[in-house]
Amino acid sequence: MSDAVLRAGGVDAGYGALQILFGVDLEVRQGEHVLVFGPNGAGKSTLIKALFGLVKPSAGHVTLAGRDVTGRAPEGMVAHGMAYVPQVSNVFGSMTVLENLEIGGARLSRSRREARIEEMVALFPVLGDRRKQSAGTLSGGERQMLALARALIPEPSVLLLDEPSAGVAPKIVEEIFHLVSGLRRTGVSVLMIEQNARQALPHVDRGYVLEGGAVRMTDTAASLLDNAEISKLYLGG
Amino acid sequence: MDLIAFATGLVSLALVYGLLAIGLNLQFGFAGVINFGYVAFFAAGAFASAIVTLPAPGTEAYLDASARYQIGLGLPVWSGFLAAGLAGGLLALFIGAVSARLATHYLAVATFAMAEVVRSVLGNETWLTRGEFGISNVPQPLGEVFAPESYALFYLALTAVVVGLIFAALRHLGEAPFGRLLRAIKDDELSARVLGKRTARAKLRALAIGGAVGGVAGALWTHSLGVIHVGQFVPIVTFQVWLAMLMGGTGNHWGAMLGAFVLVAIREGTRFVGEVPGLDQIAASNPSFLPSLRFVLIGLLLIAVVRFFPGGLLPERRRRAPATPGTSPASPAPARPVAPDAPALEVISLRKRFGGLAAVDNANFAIRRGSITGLIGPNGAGKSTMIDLLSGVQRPDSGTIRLAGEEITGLAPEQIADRGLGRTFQTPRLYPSMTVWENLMVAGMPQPNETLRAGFLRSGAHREAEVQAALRADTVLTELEVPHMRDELAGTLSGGQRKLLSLGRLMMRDPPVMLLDEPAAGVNRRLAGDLFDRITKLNRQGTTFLIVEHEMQLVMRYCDHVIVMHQGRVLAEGTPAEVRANADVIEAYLGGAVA
Amino acid sequence: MIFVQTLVYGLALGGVIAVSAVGLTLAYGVTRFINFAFGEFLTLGAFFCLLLAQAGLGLAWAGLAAAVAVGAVGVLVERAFYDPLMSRGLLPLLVTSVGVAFVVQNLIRIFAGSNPVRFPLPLMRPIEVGGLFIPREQLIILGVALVTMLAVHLLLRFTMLGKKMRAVADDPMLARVAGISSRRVLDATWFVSAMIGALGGILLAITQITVAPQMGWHFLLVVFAAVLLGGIGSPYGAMIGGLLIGLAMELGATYVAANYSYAFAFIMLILVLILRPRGLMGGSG
Repeated sequence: MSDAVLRAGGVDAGYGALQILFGVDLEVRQGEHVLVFGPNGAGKSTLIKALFGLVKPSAGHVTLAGRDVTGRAPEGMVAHGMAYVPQVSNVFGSMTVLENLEIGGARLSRSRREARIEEMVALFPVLGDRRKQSAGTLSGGERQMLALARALIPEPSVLLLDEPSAGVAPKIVEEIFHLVSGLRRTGVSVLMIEQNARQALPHVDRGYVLEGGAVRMTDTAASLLDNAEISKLYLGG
Repeated sequence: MDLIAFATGLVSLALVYGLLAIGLNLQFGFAGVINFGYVAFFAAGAFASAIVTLPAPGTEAYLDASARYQIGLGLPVWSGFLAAGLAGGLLALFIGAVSARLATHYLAVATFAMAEVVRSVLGNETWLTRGEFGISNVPQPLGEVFAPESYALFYLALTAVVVGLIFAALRHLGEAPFGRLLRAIKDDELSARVLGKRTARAKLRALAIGGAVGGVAGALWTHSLGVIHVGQFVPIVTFQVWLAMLMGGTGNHWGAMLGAFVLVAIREGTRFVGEVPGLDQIAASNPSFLPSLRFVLIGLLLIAVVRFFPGGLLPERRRRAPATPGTSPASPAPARPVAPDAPALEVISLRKRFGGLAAVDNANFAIRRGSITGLIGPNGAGKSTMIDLLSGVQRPDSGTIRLAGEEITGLAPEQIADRGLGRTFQTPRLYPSMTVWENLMVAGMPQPNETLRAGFLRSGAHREAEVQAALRADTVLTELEVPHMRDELAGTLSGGQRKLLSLGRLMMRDPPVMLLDEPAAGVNRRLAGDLFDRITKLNRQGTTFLIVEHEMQLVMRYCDHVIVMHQGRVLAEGTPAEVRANADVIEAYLGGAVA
Repeated sequence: MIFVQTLVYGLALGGVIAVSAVGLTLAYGVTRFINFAFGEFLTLGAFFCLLLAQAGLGLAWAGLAAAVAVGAVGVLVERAFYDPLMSRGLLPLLVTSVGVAFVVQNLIRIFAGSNPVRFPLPLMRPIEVGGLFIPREQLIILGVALVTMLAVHLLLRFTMLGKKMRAVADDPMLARVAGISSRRVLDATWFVSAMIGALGGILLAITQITVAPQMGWHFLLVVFAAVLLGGIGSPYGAMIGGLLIGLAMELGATYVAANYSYAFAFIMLILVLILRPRGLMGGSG
C-alpha cells in the first residue's frame, strides 16, 4: 500500500547468535493506530527496537515514508520522523519537566520549540503545572505523559510505544490508552506493543499477533476481539 | 664479565617485577580489586626491611660507614624479609579496611591516593627514612662472603629461590577453592554473595597476601641495591607493574611473570636509543630525552596492550575439570531443622520505595513449607524487587521477613543464604569466565574449605570435601542432562543453558527454600517443561519454591499456590483455579474487560 | 590576622581545585570514567599559555588561546584513545588514561626540560585591608575561578548544549532515543572539560609561580579528592569539594604541619568517604 508511513519487510533480528525475529512483515498507514501483541518472549520488544534502530536487523528492511532507513542509528530515525517512548526510564529524572520537553525539541528552532512545548502543555495540562518540577519526582502516569509529550515535540510521523501501561495503576492505564487514542487528532501514526492486549485493543485500529518471532496474523481490532481463538490464546480467556 | 653482571642484574630486576606482578595479579587478576597504589606495599616492604637490618647507630659498622640515619635495628636479613612481608600485608589490610565499602572508581582513586600519602609520610619523616636523601648502607646478605664479581650471581640465585617459592605458593593457592572463590568474586560478586560466600573477607585476604608479596619484593630489591630513598617509589612503578600483568595476561601467574620479563627487556632496551645515529645527538644535548622517552614508551605500551592485546601474551586458560574418582553415591539429603509450624517464608507489611516509586507497598503473604508457589503480576508489579528483598540483595524500608520462623529482615545476602534460602536471577548471573563445572564447584564448596589455611594446607578433610563436591557436581550435571557441558565456559552458554546452570548451582547447595526469577523465560517450550519437571522432583524431596513466572500455562500446571502482585501489593492469592477466576486479577493482569 | 590571610589563600587554592574538578567531573558525566590524563590538560594549558606569553601575547589572551587549544587536544584524546574502548568496561579506560598521561607528560618534558620555569606574571602590589596584606594574584585567581564556575553554571542551566550534556549524563540511551547525537555532545563536553582543565592549570601556575611538566600529574590527586568529595559527576559537588579541600589544605598546612598539605586533602576525603561512600552530593547508598 502506498500510504504506509512505516513498513517492515522480512525483518530478522536478534542479539549475537540468538535470533529472535524471523522475517517480520508489518506496516502502519497514515494516521493509523496499530497494536502488536503476543505472549511473553514473542519478540515484541526486539521488534520495536529493530524498527527504531536500537537493534540492527540482520536481514530485511525498514522504510519510513518510502525511504529506506534500515539499520540507521536512533538519532537518525528521529531526524526522519520516527519517535520512540521506551518502557521504563523514559524521562530524564535529574532534569525539570520543561527541560525534558526542551530536549525533545533540541533539533527545532527556538521559536518552534517553544511553540511546540506550549502545544504539548495544552495537550497534557498536568505538565504545565509542573514545569519547574524535577521529572524524577513525577508519578507513574505523569511520567508517561511527559515521555509521550517529549517524543511528540518534533512532530514525528510515527510514534513507537513500548508497553505504555507497564507499571502504572489500573485506572491510569485506561487513561493512558485514552490519551494515545486522543493523539489521532494530531494525525500521528502509532505503533504500540502491549502485554495488556485486551485493554489496549479497543483503542487501536488494527492489531498484529506476534509469536515465536513471526507475525501469526493481522486483522482489525474489532475482528481480533471477536475472534474466540485469539481471545483464548492471547487475551487471557 | 660486564655483560654477565648486566644480564644478572636485569634478570634479578625482572624477577622482582615478576613478584610484584603476581602479587597484583592475586589482587586484580583473581579478586578483581583495582589497586592503583600497589607501589605503597613495595615501599613499605623495602623500608621495613632496610630499617630492621641496618646496623644500629653507634655500632662499629654504623661508624665505619659514616652513616647518618637515626634508626636501625641491626637484625639479620631474613628478619628483614619477614618484616617486609608483614609491613606490606598490614598496610594492605588497613587500606582494604578503609576502602572496603568503595565502588570500583572510588577504589582505584583511593588506592592511588593512599600510595601518595604513604610516599608523603616516608618523604617527610626524615628521622625514619632520611627523606629524599635516602640511606645508602642497606646491608647486603652474605655480602662479606662473596667476592663483588660473583655477588650479583649469588643474589640472583637468592632472588630466584624466594620468587620461585612465592610463585609456587600463590599458584597452589590460585587453584585451591580459595582461588576459585576469588575468580568467582571477580566475575560477579553479588552472585557469589547470594550463594553464601563471604566475599568481603576473601577480598581482604587476597589484598593482604598481595600486599605481603609486594613487601617481600621491596625487601629483595632494596637489599640488592643497597640504597633506598623515597624517589624510588613513584606512581609509575605501580603502572609498570600493571603493564607487566596486563601484557602477560591477567588471572595467570605465568603470564604475569612473563610480562615482567618483557617489560624489563623493553625498558632497558631504551638505554641503547642513545647510541642510535641521529638520536645520539639529541640524547647528548637534551638530558631529559632518554628518561622521558622511556616513559613515553611505557605509556604507549599501556595504551597498545589494552587496546590490541586485551588477553595478554598468555591469556588465562580454561581449567578442565579433573576426572571424578568412582561413581557418585546418592548424596544424602541435608538435615533440615525447622520450627514445626512456621511457614517456609513469611512477609509482613513489607515496603520498598525507589525515589517516588513504591516498588513494594505493604505486601503480606506466607508460603507454606513444601509448596511450589507462583508469584505473578504485570510488568513493574514489584515481583523482582520482592525477590531482591527476600534474598537480602535490597534492604526493605520497613516490614518483616521470616524464614522458617526466624527473622531475616535486613540481613546481608550471604547471611540469608546461610540460613537456607537460595535464589536465581531473571538474567542469570553466572561466572562467565569459569567453566560450568567450576561454577558448580564454587556453589557447592562449604565455607571452611575456602579459607586461606585450607588453600595452603590441603588436609585430607579438605581433599575429601573437594571430592564430595565434585561427585555432587557430576550428579547435578547428570540430573540436568547436560554432562557434556562440564568444561564449557559459562560465558558461552545459550540463554536456556544459563537458566539450567543457575538452577544447578542452587542444587549444589540444596537450600530448603529456592526463589526462582523467571526460570523458563527465553527457554524453549520442551526445555521449560523439563525444567519444571525437575523443580517438581526437587519439591517432592522437600524443597519449597517461590517462582516468578510469566508463562501462565506453566504456573497453572505446576504451582499449587499462586500470589498475584500488582502495584507492589498482593492483589490476590489462592489456588491457580481461584486466582484465574478472580475478577480483580483478570482486570489487572490477564487484561479482561470484565464488564 | 593569620587566620584571615590563610582563609584567602585557602579560598584561592580552593578556586583552582574547584575549577579543575569541574572540568574533570563534566567529562566523567558523559563518559563514566575518571580520566587519569586530566592533569596533563592542566600542564598543557600552563605551558601553552607560557609559550604564547613569551611570544608577546598579553597574559589574558594567551590564557584564553591556550585553553581553546587544550580543548581541541581533549577532543582528539577522547576520539583517538577512549572512544574505541567505550564498550569494554572500566579498567581498559582507566589504564589507557594513565598511559596517555605518561605519554603527554614526558613529551612535554622532552621539549621543555625537567626543571620548573618561571611563569611570566607581572609584579603586583598587594592590597592592604585593615593591616592585612592580600596579594593581588590570589584575588585574581579567586575571581577567574568564580567567573569560570559561573560560566559553567550558565552553560548547564541555560543553553541547549548544556541541557544536552546533562541529558547524556543522566541517561545516554534515552538521550539517543530522544534524537540527541551523543557523538557531538561528547565532543563538546570533552572540549569544555579540557578547556576548563587548561584554565585550572594556568591558575595553578600563578599560585605556584612556576610551570613544570609534572605539575598537573601531581595536582591530579587533589583534584580527585575534590571530585570524590563532592560526588563524581556532580559539577556543583565538585565546586564545593574543591573549595573545601583548598581550605583544608591551607588551614592544615598553617596550623598543623606544613609538609602535609596534600595529605590533609586525602585525610579529609577518606573521612568523608567512610561516612558517605558516594560523596557529599552523590546521593545515598
